[in-house]
Amino acid sequence: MDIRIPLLYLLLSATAMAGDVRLYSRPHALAPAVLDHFTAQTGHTVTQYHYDDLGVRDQVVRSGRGQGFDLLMVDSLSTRVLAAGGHLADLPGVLPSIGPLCGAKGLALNDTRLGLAYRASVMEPPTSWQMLFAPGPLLKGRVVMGREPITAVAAALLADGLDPYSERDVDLRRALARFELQAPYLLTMDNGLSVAAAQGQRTPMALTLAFAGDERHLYQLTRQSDWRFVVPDEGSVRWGECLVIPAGNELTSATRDLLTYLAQPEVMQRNAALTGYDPVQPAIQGSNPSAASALSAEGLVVRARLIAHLIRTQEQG
Amino acid sequence: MKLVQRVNIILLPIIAGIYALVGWAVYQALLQQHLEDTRRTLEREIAFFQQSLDFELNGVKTSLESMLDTPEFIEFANDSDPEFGAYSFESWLYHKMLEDRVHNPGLLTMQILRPDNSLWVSAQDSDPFTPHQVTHLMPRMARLSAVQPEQGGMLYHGGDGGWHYYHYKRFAPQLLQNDPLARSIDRHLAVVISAIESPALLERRLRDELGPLLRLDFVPSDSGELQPLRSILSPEGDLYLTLSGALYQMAITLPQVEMVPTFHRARLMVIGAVAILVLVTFLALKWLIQKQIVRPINRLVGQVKESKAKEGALQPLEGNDEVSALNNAYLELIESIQHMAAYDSLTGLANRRNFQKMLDRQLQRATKQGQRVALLYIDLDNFKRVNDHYGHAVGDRLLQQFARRLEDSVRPTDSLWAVQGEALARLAGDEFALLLTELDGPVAVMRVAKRILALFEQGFELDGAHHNVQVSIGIAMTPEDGQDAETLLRHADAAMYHAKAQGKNRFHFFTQELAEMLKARQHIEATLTNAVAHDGFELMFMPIFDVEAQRPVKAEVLIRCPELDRQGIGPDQFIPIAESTGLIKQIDLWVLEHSLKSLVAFRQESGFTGCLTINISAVELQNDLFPAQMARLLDRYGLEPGLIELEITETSLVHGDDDCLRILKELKQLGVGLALDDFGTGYTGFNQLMHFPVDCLKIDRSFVMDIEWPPTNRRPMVNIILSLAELYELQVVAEGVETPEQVEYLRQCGCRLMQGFFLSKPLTRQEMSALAELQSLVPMPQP
Repeated sequence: MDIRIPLLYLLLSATAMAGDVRLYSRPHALAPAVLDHFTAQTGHTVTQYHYDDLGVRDQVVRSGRGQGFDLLMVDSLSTRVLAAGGHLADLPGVLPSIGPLCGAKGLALNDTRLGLAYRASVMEPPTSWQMLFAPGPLLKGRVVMGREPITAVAAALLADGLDPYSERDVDLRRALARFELQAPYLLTMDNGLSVAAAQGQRTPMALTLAFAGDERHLYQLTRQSDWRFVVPDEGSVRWGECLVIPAGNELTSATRDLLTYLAQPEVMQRNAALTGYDPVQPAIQGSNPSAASALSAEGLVVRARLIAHLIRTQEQG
Repeated sequence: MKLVQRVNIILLPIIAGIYALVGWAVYQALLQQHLEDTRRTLEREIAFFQQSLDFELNGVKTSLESMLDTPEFIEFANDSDPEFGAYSFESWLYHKMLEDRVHNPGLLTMQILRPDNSLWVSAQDSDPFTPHQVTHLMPRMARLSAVQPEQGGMLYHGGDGGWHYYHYKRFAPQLLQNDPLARSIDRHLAVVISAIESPALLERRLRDELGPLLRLDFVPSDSGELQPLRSILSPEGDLYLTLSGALYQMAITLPQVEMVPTFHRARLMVIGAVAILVLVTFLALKWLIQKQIVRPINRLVGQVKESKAKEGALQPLEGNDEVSALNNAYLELIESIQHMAAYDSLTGLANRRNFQKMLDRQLQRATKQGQRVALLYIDLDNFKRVNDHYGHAVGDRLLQQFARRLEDSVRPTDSLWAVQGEALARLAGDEFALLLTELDGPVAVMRVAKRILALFEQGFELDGAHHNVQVSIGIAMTPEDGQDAETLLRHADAAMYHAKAQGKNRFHFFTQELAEMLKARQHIEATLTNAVAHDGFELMFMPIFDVEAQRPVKAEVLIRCPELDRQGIGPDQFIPIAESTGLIKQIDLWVLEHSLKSLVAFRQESGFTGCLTINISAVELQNDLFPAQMARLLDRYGLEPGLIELEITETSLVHGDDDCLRILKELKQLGVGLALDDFGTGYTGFNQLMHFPVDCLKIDRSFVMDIEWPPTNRRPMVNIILSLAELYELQVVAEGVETPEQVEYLRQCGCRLMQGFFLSKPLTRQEMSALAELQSLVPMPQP
């Protein structure tokens, strides 16, 4: 489909009726300049409601509260699960492309890599995932470990050279053992950006599980200019985010206009450039869905339990 | 032992005993109270436990109910692909459980099971590799579901050592929970498992309160059978409680040993309290007794002791208490004793002792003031006869009446004399004394004496009868008759005797002649006393001859006091004095003993076979001991009683009473002979002779003298006596035979036994022995 048609439609509708898009999103995923440009072009405004915990996000969506939003930003796996559960509405057909990352009911927004953000003034660039779990005495109490079950367990499995999506009990037990090794170095189990936002430049955090692009936001939040991102030698997993429409909600023109606007490749590139998160690669967008999609429901539950156990353990001291 | 010591000894054990009993009762009550408190504590804690358990279980149920009503759960349950939804729902469920823990901290697990009971979603704290399904409870769950298919619960012992509650509820997510039609479809099972603190809390609280040895046996039960709380006290003292609730059975054992410290504390507390109370009570009572009893008594004792030395130290007390009563009773007793000691109980007059004290005081006062006093010694004449004839009661009344009349008589009617309080006294049986003070002279005394005598002019009238009783009054006055009490009394007494001797019912002043007579009498008394003490008597023997046999057959024993003999004082003078002083008894015994000794000698020396006649005083006829003394002497000297004849004067028998007659009979029974001396002078009625057990009459010498010069033309008295003796078959001895004519006359009249100077003068013991021996060979002189 030629992209010019939606754009035209977008421009026409903007002059006809201005609206607001309520967006439930992860912070930093959308560049404010992009949204400002959207507003300038269409007259629609975008109101963002942020989450930094995917479990909270899921509870909002699953409890029906998600219907209070026009758009939701969810990861590619959750997009698939929510779609299967009937919680998402179809995307409007005017969108120029529907990629495999987010399936039929999600507009892929980015597809970034999992890696490590670290402070270059504190440590050498970590070359192995093992550095996240045993970074050495200098980083005691300075490691922030994410609590998202898929990526956190994947990092532990990668540290042992295992399949990051393995559902084998023995592999997961090794992952648990790896997490237990990490305990002395942990500052907290949380999202690194959330910690930076909360603690600012006083944070002792020096190493955290991160996505490519997070280092830019870490710098902005902590004013520590030595944040760097690296993908360890054992490899990485990709993590894509999608924009989805909650089931049962009427699709507003503003929402449609926003989706249409963001679906433009140059807008997507511009957003990636401004946020630091990798844009959706055409190959992936077209034919290589995330390996996380291979996880079974049982596998997801076990990961969730494992992380919950670690959080309890960490909270209990 | 002093009262204080006695109080200590008596009071302390009594108080200790009483408090010990009270303490024991209190201790028992405390034990019962403790058991009751323990039982109540257990009941209260169990009630609290039940409330706590209900609260916990309700919290569990509420968590489950609220979970089932959440939109998250409804959304999840109705998810078209709920298997993947479980991934996020379980996370929500876990957070829900964390939130519920605020109110229900025991929450362990929240689960959703599929209709086939396979685990679907499970939120719990265990590590991800631990099986979440409580498989070991499935059999119980199956049984319970059969009974309670919709919802129910059970308690079980968790692996952590605590008690867990498993609560389940079947639900259909599409329908309301309380929709009964939902039961018709296959339903899921919601399960909440929670740790239950109540049993452990109960055990902890009970052990904290009742002791660590308390045992709580808590057993889960699915029977739902309720048993109320029951408590049993075992014989060993252990306390058992049992209770069955809907989900459990419970047994509590409180060993007796857990209560021992409490009992011990109670015992110590009671013992301590008893000891303190005993001490306090004892000290308080002792103080009170000391203050209220002992000190007053000691004060009273001190006053009593002081009252011995100081009159008036003891005063009557007006209090109404016992000590005052004792004080006053003691005073009354003292007064009574003093009165008894000072006054005659019969007449109420002062007694001799009191009178003498008064007399001393009055004499001292009279001497100082130069006044004269007169002492009247009053003796009732013939009073003994009243006693003998009318009895002592009449005699006593006579004395009382006399005392009253005497008081009335001597009451001062003018200023010639004064009579003080104790001036009228009863000195002895029928002897009274009156002291007159502030006298002008003898005239006043005579007036009083006459007034007293006037009471007896017609005898003494008592109870309408006239008694032949008079008085003899002796009067002594100061200063001429003596200035001390003893002298004045003695002189008044002497004057009284003189008045009595002058004839009765008269008074006599003490005179110089009486003073000399008294002096002589005192000399004789002293000489007799000395003679008794130093064997100062001698015996003479007047032979009594049988003129027919012409030999002595008897001998009358005569006593002599050589000391008095030299002064011309013979037995006729000193015997009455001996009788009046009481010396006569000792003299009689001396005479008896020496007479018997002499008789033994006569019999041994001269072959005398006759008997001795021995004079005894009339006093012996009132002496109950005399017959026994006589018997002992006879026994001592081995003499036949018939060898002794006792002479008594006829005058001693004139007023002979029953006592006198009894003693005569005892002597007679002893075997001794009895002779009536001076017969004819005592006016003994002939009929009286029949009552006296006499064997012999001794004709008085005056009648023998009348033989030659009879006073009238009447028949001589001797003849009458001899006739009388013949009539009563009595032996007769004529005394004072001094001429041959008298001998002849008497012989012709039939009198064979005679004594007198014509026949023999009194002989010494040797002479008598010689005479007895001679007369056995030589005939007696012929008239």
